[in-house]
Amino acid sequence: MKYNILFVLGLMMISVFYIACEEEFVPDDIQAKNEYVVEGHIELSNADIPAYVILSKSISYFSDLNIETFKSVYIKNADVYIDDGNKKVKLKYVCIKDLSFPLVFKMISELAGKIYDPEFCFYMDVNNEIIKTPGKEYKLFIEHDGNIISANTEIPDRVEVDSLHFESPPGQKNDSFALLWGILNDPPDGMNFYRYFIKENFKKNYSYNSLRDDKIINGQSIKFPFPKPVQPGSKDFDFETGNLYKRGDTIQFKFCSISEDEFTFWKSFQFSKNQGLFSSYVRPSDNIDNGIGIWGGQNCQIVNMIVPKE
Amino acid sequence: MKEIITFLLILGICIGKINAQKVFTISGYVTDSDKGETLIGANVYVPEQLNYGTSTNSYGFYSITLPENHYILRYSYLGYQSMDVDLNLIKDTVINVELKEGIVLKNVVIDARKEEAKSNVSGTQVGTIKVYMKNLKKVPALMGEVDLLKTIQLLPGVTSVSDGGAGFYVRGGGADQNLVLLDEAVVYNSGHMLGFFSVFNADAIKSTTLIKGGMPANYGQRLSSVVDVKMKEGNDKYFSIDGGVGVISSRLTLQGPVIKDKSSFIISARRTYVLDLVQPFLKGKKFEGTNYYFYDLNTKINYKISDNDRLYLSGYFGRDVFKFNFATRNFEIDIPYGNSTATLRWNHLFTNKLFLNTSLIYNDYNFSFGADQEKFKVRTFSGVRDINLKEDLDYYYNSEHRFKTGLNYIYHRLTPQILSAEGDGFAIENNAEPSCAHEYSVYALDEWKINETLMMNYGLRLSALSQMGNYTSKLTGKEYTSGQLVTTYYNIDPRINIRAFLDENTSLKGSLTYTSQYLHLVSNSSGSFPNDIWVPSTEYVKPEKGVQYSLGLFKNFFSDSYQSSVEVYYKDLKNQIEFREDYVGGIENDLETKFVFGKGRAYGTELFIKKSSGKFTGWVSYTLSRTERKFDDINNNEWFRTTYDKLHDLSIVLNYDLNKKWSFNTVFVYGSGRRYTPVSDIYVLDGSINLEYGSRNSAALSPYHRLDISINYYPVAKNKKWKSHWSFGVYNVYNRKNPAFIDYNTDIDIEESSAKVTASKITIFPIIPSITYNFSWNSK
Repeated sequence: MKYNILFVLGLMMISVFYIACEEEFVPDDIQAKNEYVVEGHIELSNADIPAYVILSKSISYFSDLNIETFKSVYIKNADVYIDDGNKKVKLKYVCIKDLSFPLVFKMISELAGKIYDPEFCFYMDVNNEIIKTPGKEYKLFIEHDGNIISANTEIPDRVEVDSLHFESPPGQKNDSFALLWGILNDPPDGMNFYRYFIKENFKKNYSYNSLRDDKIINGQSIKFPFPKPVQPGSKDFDFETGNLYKRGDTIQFKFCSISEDEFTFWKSFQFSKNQGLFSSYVRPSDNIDNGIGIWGGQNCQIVNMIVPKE
Repeated sequence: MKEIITFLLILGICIGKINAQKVFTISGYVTDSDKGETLIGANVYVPEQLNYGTSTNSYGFYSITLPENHYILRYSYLGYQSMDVDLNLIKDTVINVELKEGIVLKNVVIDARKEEAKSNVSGTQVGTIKVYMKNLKKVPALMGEVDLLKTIQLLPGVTSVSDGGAGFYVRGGGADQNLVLLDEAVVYNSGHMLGFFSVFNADAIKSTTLIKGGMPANYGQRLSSVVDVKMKEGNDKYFSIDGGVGVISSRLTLQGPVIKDKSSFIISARRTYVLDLVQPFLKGKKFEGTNYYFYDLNTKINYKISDNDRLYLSGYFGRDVFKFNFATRNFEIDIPYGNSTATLRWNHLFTNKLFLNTSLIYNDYNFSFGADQEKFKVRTFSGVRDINLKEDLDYYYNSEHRFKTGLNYIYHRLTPQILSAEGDGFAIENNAEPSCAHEYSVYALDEWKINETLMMNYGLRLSALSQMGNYTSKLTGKEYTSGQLVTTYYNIDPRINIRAFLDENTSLKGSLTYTSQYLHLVSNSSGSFPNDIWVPSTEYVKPEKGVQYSLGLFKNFFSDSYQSSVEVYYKDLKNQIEFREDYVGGIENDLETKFVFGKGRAYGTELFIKKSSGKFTGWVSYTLSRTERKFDDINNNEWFRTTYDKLHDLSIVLNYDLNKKWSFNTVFVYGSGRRYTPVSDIYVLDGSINLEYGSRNSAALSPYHRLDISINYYPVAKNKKWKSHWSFGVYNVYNRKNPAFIDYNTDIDIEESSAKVTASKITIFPIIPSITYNFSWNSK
């Protein structure tokens, strides 16, 4: 749903009870689980990005947070495989700085906003051996220190947005910003799940609260706004213009059809990050056996645009 | 089944034992002499033979059948002067009694407060407390708003999550397991402002009874407790106006006779205005028009058709209204929600022993959300609507047996979240269908005075719920059309309460209470929220069931000046419902598939000492308890404590009436810290730091404690028609920063290679002073 009612109710209470105060809190120190964390993507798009997996472990809440700590959470000596039923491919542990041209640019673009360290390493189907086919299932299999971590995903059929264009934002006239609109042509068969990403000036990737399903629009062609998916409360967010596009900027609009598992994961994951003061905790619904995270297949339309000056 | 057969055998033996004697019946109504209000639960008894006694029912009617003899019959009610009637009982007699409010010197008239105190020992029900409005109005309140439900939370066995948690919890039951009744209509959401204030306007309330254990068979629908609130009927002697001006709201009540001594009315209204006051400052600003307020309207009219027939029509309408305007972007949000109830009641006296109440009740709770931005509009709507027909028959058989039986039919219509949206050239909706169900129940109970020592209230309640289509089976995929029967559930709930006098001032009471619940409110928040959705039992969602065992020792000290009790209870709950741990809310057409099912248990000890007479009054309540749940899909199927589990819960309420002008009141509460689910790990995913949680509710916040005070000043009235008083209060006197919530913040700056995880405790209410001016005028 476009508007999170709970968030609004929270806002309502906060606005009334402006007298509430906040103090530092030290939670109970409990045993860390040190779980395997998987972030794996297999994407079919014209960007032709090879399947890749970022593998790490969770650490205690009370860990010292510094560069060394973060470097140490990533696992480098695992055996990671993708199996499409016909072929089983072992992914190679690679670092960004070691990638060849043009793969290095593809991955810098893919990980923009997430990773800036050229020495960052992950597992990748470097030779793009896995053939990505809509409707096909892909198994992920990881072996590390005698532990087996596994997951399944599927690449769905692609659904595209057309008639993408910018319009002046609603409300008072504003010459500096615009809002992106497009027509989503949802197919009538089955449930479809979508997620869009906005890359701004080749640098930052935004994807907060950009998940959509076709529960109420099944089979329709509808003109939708695609606000810039910036997380409220983040330092990039401005209440008046945070979801608008600055005229003159270059943006990349990536619209992906995703599996239900992936949709459910990102929905619960994003909610858990911004669930409001009054909600109980949420455990993201992952598809990883013996770990947490996501192994997701997606089929994406990618469009580069310049936000027109009026 | 064995229990039911045993019950029927007991019932048969009892009825068989009832023998014929030359007896006569005294019956009538007990009312307030000044205003004509009927008095509920007033005692009528023979002081010389305590076994000869009864009390008025929910409509102020009593009937007592005694052998032919000469009696002194005493009528008493808390806060009123007792009245003795000298009676030579040689025929059936109607005595309508008007009791005079106020206490007079002890050596002139018997102090009714002490007489009333005897019921602590003599009543059969365990875990039942009457809340008197006069006491309620003395308790210091947040922002000066006298609050029934907050006061109930000061009683043993009743708790809340924290300052920020809506709802209340009774003996380990969930917030939705409390049956909150206003003139017999179910109030589905009893809170305003996310639960900080209750919907009950104290000026319109006549009486409140809390039943937390030993629920008699005439109550059903919920597992854990009953809060039975009765509205005033209206002054049938003269006109009066009562009101108050407070920090956040004002209230006004008008009442008076329509036809003197025959018909009267009451209208009572309350509205908040804090944010109305800032509207001039928002004019021309980007948030112009943003506002929040709530209001209540209580109305009632009654008409005495004849000595044997009375009609009552009462209603409640309340709304919370939140508006958010962001003029710069033409963006508006509108969230209105609230309850509406209407009760039409007919009391009919067939004979002086047989009293019938027929009620036709309508109640509705709905929550709406609307957001508009130029051509783009989104609306959601959810709610619950009942039509309820209820028959209750009181049969005052003789001085030993008082039977009560009744039946109840409720048509439930529960609307899930219905969403509609429209924009540039499109209009869509989620086509969610309301759930409909028929709920039936029939009950019978007998209050049996076995001898001078033993008394028993035993009964049986049979209930059923039929789920109707539209519905698509989650088990078979079968589609049911509108009005088609999907499934029916039946439950048989025996109820037994026994009291045994150990001596004149001491009694031992025990109870066994089976309960069933067919409507459920599942929340993914730490408390309950106005947008939480009520769902019926379906083929997939089984009815909740509970059984509670209670045992209590009740003792009065110092000539009944002090009443005390020690109660222990154990509660077993089945088919408990929670949301899956990954549930995030939003529009769900199949909400029930997001549920998980488990069981619960709660046990505890409650201590209660109360002083209700003299200048110095008040009570101390302490509860030692444990509340746990177990679900296959939560916490690895291990028992976990609920957020409202409190090992220790202490409340001290003290009132001191210094003289006619000044009274001082204070409340101190102390409770174990609220349970929460601690974070165990952090992990990196999607370029951000994220939290992984440990076992559910496995940690506790720091203990909650708070002191409130209030001082009431009653200036000498210049004339008899106009009275006023000031109430000065301070909530949280020593500014204790009680944590209501924990807020985690995770910041990662990839470019700067820095990261920070912080946790903050949020305190909602620091020290808050209040001042309220109350007034009353009458045409006497």
